[in-house]
Amino acid sequence: MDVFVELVFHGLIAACIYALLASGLVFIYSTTRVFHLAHGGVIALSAYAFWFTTSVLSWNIVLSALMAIVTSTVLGLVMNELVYEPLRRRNSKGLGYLIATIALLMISGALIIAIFGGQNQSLGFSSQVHVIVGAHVTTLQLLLMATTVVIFFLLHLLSTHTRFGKTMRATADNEVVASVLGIDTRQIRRLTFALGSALAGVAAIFYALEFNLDPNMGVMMAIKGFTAAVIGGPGSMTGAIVGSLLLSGVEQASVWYLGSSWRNAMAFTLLFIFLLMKPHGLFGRRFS
Amino acid sequence: MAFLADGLVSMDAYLIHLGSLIGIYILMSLSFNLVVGYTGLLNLGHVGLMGIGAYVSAILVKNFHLPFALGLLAAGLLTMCVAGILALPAKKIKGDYYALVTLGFLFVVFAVLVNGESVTRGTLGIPGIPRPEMFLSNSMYLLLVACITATTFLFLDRLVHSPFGRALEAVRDDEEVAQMLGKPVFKLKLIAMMISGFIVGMAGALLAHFVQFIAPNSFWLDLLVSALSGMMIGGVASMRGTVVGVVILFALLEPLRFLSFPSSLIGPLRLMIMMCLLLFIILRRPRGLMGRAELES
Amino acid sequence: MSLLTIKNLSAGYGDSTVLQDVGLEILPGEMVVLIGPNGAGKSTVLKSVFGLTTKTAGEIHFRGSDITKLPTHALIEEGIGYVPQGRLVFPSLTVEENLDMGGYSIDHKQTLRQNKERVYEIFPALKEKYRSRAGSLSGGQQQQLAIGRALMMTPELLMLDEPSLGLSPKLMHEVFQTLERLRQSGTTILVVEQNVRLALQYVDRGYLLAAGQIRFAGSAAELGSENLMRDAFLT
Repeated sequence: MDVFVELVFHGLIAACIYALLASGLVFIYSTTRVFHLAHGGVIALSAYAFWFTTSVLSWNIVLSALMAIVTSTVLGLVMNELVYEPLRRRNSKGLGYLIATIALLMISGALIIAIFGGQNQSLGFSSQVHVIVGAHVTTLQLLLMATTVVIFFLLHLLSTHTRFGKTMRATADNEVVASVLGIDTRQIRRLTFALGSALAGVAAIFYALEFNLDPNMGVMMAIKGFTAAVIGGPGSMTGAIVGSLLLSGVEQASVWYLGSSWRNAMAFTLLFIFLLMKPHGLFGRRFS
Repeated sequence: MAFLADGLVSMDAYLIHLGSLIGIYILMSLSFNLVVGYTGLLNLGHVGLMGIGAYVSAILVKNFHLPFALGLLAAGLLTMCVAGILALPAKKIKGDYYALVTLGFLFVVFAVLVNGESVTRGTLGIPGIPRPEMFLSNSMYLLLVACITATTFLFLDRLVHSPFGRALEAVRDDEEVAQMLGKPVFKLKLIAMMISGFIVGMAGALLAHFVQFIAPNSFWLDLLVSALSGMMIGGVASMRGTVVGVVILFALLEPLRFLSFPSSLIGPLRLMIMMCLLLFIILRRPRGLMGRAELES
Repeated sequence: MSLLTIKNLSAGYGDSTVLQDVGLEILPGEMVVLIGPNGAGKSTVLKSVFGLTTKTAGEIHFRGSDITKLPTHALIEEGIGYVPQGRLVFPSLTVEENLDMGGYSIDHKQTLRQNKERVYEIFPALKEKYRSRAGSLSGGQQQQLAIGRALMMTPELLMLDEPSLGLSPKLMHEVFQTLERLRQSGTTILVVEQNVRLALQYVDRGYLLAAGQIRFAGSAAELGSENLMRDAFLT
């Protein structure tokens, strides 16, 4: 029974990481209609920046965390300005964005190897262990769960109760009409990328503190975020949460029944099944 | 293109080695262009199909001692069938969403290759894939690849200029109009996918027996973006362009080997250059060098 | 003095020219219709006024000042409202939020609320549904919302592109009755309409556009003459 409880907590922790990943993806997708797979690359680069500043440059951890968020925000903005916006001016419908985002994802991976080397890295961070209903949970993991909940709450408030949120949704609904009403849609997309990418920074910090970093993690992050978003429905924040929980649940179940090497295989299969059978996800509106 | 030319002492040997790789990449990109450029299906699972072909032939020939020719044929046929199945969702799903579905397929192939350890040896990969007696030397192998590539090129070039090819292009340009003109839209997509699958399955087998070692990573996103780059440089919907595109890609990337960079940097550098080129093309020259259509029009 | 004057306007999209040498004039308080066959360029006239086309020649004046080169958001502040074709509301936003978007450039909260109240007075049905998602409204209500959204900036000139499109005859009349009331309260209206018979019952006068040029200008009665219509729509 204890092992089971541990597994549930592990699942919750992974789900939180996935939810942070997916929240950025969904946030960006719902306003800009760009399925920003390079988000995974942004997270990976920021996680390495976080590791490098703390472990190699011995910066204060708060300063490094800020650095990671700045890195991710800048990366997201640069990708939007240099690639997605020009594509939008070319009237790209989706295929262009998709190829571009895969290219950006690959560039991120190559950059990590070029800048930080090809080795796996670890921060060796540890925090106090608590025992909660029989499971061992660290302070960090509790903080991760709390942060995820707070972030989703804030995102919800942002999108329903602020002028910026309404404008974002209007831009998502119909960009042309939004601009006809005097909304600077380009600025809205810029802010969306900045904010969504800042979330990538947060995800990167927790990931780096909790797990080992490897140069190919960006691709895996992209796939996991993509899976959670597709399961939930790529335009829905509620969907991102449910998708993350379901993905993590399936992963833990496959670890439990088949062994840990099946974790990714089951996740990929889940993604494929949803793509085929339920293209709009559980909570989705139309995909494209 | 991560296959290092180990033990190739002379320039000649290096060029002969490179020749086979270029030929195989041309096969991969030609078959890619048939579905993407001519039929309008962005099949991001293309290199997954290639992986299936490679593993089928490698396992049949190495473990079951089948003759090379049979391995090659089996790779082509089996991949063709899988490609046919992958075409099924194209009945309902279109555009970028079909691309995502096929990307999902690539992930599944990858997962199967990694986890089907009893057959595929998982991440360890399959080493020591035999070459047939006759094509043991690199130069003879190049001859084989050249023959297959040339035949395929001639076949595809005729195919796309035939009424069948024009019907494919009609499907790409406007599916509804094609449907109204009485074209069997789905059947055309299915046939294009199956022809493409047969060719890329064989290309995979040729690659497996050439480099003699394959692993799941050999058929992953790196290869996918190489296929995309080769096709986009040459141009969407141009078989000749594809050949030129692949050659240009190699001509740009191969010289990096001879620069005095630390070898660990060469891989990422090649990838970055290739990706910047790909981005440049979709942003500035969506028709590539010789393309007759754009991915999105 | 005229409210809106278009002189010798040539305009289109990118490299293709749709309008050639178009001129028209609208006086304050008028309700004017722009009719013509499909592809005549009626929508392009409205879009040109609203800064959404590429202009190659000509001038547009509003209240005596040149607005030819002004960007869209400046035109909204000048007092021009535009209701695009096809009831383009924001479906995932609520009715109220749609109206807020219409008043996007109003920084003053009090003004925003007053204008919203005014729109609700004109369209009581919207007030009842102010918290519903716009996507769930009926076709007629969506058209009301699209008009209401344009009214949020209290425009002096309201331009509508085929407001009757896809509505039942009864709802079509309701839309035009609303426009009639708006005009009585002082809003000038320029409407593009495919349903000529309907429009001519309400407007003062109109322009007939064909192949990117003004073919005829006159009163509603003159425009309604059978011969003129047949000529314009068959050639």
